[in-house]
Amino acid sequence: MSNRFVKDARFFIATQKYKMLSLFAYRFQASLWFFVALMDVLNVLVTITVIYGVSSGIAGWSYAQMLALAGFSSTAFGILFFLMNPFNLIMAMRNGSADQLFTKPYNKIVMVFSKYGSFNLISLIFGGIALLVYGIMNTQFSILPLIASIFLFLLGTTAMLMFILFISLLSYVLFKSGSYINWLTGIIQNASQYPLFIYGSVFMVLLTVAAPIAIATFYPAELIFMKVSITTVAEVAAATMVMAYLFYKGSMYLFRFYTSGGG
Amino acid sequence: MNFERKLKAYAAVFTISLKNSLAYKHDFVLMLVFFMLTYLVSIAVWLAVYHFAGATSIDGLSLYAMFAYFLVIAAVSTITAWPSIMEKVSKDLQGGGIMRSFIRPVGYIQQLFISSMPESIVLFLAAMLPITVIVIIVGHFSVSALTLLFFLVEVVLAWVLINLMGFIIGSSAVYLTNIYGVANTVQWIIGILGGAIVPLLFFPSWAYNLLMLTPFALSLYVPVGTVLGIIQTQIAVRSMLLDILWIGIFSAVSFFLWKRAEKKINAVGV
Repeated sequence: MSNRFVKDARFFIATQKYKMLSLFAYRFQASLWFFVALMDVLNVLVTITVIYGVSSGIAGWSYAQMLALAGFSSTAFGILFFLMNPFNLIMAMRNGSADQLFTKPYNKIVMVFSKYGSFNLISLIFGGIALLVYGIMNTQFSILPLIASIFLFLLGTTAMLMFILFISLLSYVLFKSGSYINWLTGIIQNASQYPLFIYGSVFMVLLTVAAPIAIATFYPAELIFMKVSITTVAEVAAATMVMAYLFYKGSMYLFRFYTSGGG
Repeated sequence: MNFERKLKAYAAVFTISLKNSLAYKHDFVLMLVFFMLTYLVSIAVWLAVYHFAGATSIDGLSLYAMFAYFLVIAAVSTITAWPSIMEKVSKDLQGGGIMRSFIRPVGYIQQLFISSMPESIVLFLAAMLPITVIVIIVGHFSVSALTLLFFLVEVVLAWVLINLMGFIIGSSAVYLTNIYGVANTVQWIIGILGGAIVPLLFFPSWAYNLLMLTPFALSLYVPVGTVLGIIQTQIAVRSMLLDILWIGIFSAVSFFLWKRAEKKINAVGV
């Protein structure tokens, strides 16, 4: 099993290297694409700065804490799009070029993450981390909650990846279309940059249970700033692991509906 | 070719483009729904800000005006956020398809603008009609005939401005392998400096005054501010004149760029 893991890791690293070299073949274009990926971070930075400039902001959340939350969201979605652009995956399945997912001797998920991600979104990850670090450094925090929140963030991001993969494949199976998955993901990303309770308890539950977005963004931020108890976090982490596994199994099942040759 | 025949040719281009834009109604409706949903997040965030501040007005903008602002900007953004001309020009230049356009009895640039009109009109009407119902009827918001006229003129001028920008970006395809990096950057600049992310009223006064002179605010914030009464009539009139000035500038740049691009055009693409 460890050999399989090493083989998959090597394949993933090799494809990322290829994507990076392809992107940097045209340097001006590459720099623009990296800047384009940072736009989400800049948008939320401007919005939060203006909100806290003209008002007291969201109750219970300081300016720095909001930036940290936005940082978690940007990093999580940066990782998502770096590994898998849902539209690219579905278009490949529509035109039949996803055959290699089934013919190459690598794990299907690794293949998806290797082939259908957008390399330039790495700047969104770095931008998100910069926001996060700035937010944390300008608030009081303890080391243990910080470590726990990073663990929760990684777990949540994994569950979110599996969820997006699942709904992308479901969109392919049901509608033979991926046009709206990227729109939907963008809307969820925008929403997750702010404390989820502002959307009401129904949406908060939806974004925690049905779509594990809150687990990658809101709860890690709450944990760092001790706005949530360790018991709640443990329950959320357990639920996340179950959801990630279910979405993974669901995705493996939906891959069976792929039709080679396009369609 | 006499004027009447030209007019018939342009009318034919318009009709075909209108039919094309309505060919996939399901896709069209879903695109509109998702586009509007994007702005619902901004509305929810600002509603929360007003709620926690315990304020009915922030910097002169009432809660209701903020709600209406994002709805109207969502409608205006359908035609000023992304110039469809840009992709067509870039594809034609890089693929060589532009050669077919030169042998047609309609001018290429005129054809570009006329063919992108129907989609813009349909999108704008489809977005604006439900929003008008919500803002005016449900919210008891009133608009004078003069304000409405100014709004429509500003939207038309904004459409021309944005598509001239799109034409300039599309023409740069002779120099760039892929225009989408430039296009997305410009779109972001228009969004953030045009008030799609945050109303420009909340920016410092020096920034606000400066931005009101730029084509970005003229494309988005000014039409929205005019119809919602955030911008006074004299500022609206001044903005329309500025629009015309910017259209003149962009037309000159487009003409210059196109003359240079024409030298590089060939049937197999640049």
